[in-house]
Amino acid sequence: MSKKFMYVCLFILYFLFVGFMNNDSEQKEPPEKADKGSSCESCHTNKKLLKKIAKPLPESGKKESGEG
Amino acid sequence: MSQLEPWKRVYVKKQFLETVHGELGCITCHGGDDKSFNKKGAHKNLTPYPSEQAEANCADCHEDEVASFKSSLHWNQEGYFERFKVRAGGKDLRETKHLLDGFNKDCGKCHASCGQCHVSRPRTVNGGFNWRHIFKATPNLKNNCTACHGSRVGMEYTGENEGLKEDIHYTNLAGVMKCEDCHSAEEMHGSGEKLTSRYDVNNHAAPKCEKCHEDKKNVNLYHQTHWQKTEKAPGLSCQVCHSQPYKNCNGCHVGKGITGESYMRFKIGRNYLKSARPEYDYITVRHIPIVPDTYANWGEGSELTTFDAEPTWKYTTPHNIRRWTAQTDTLITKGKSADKCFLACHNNEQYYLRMDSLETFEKTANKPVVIP
Repeated sequence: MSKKFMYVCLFILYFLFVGFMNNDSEQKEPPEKADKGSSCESCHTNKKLLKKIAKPLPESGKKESGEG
Repeated sequence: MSQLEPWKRVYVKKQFLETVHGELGCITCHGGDDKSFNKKGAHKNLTPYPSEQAEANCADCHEDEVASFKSSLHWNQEGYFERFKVRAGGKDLRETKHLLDGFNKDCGKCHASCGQCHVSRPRTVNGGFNWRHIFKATPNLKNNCTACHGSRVGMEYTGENEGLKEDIHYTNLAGVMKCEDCHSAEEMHGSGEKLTSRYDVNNHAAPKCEKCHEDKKNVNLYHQTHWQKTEKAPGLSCQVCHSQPYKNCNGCHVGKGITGESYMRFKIGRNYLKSARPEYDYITVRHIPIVPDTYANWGEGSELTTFDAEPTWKYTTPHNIRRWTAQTDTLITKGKSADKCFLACHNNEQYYLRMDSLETFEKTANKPVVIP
């Protein structure tokens, strides 16, 4: 019984540890527009929002540069 | 090199906001409107690349670096302008608008600002944050240096050319040597002195093998004979013995001009840059893809009227150094030391740049380089 209890505790501690280490901010319901009072940081630190709205650079039509 | 996904290009790590640069506030460097409620409004009058105006945005804290960086070849591309000038009868293309426009379209992308080494990937590979906007004092070998210097230097150094080994400095016993171990910040940032090429005699911070390997000067008969020019024997650049074959370009991304596949070759030529390295009589040379009408699509005035003023087989320092190369592998060559040297190197005609191996249009230009 005590061994089972110990493993369950370790299991829970592990997931708590992983949860605390994840410090990328993600809004629960990312809006299309920024909320009132938000700043540049609130968009650009929001991975979920950026994945939704960030667009690739327009094609320039130029050939890829050579290199040195 | 694969491009970053759109979101990764602009994703900022929260830790950045707690750094010295982050605490300045986004609009301090980037402009825009941090009170706007939508993307379009927030990005109005945005400066995406603030280090392009380094004096305005970086000099307050980095005064010395900004001042000296004006002389950096990465920033001013002075080498490009000089090469055009020498081949175009002394014309500075910056004095003619349509020529400068052509240059900016075809060559200007290789200009590097502070941010393209210390924050983002270069714009030649469509940029994007390297470290989620965190500033790093040392650029990243893969995402910064070889993002631009990839298909020649990068592939040589990391051993990606088929059948050839990586540079020994990449995998030496002491660990991986990165670009900054030879190419110092002083070299990259410039010294304030005007340079016209990376081999400019005034580029005092340029790497030299002797800085680390001076103790090898008399270590064997070959070094004793060829380390530098003496009365008895010519001086050879280190790469003449210790470089493997390297990529030579035969096609160019600029408009018309020469077209063709690049090829791997090892060639020794005469040192035409004696002002830079007077101790060398012979050097390794690499073909560059330029012809008299290379810049024809830039319009009137782009003709290279003095095309022959500079070689098309140029001084090169390949980044694929090995102790044992085809030139030095005298361990497996039978005979006395002097005979081994002769058989491994001197008797190998394929190594030498000769006039009869050149295209007609470039024979005159390479007279100072070919070995008669």
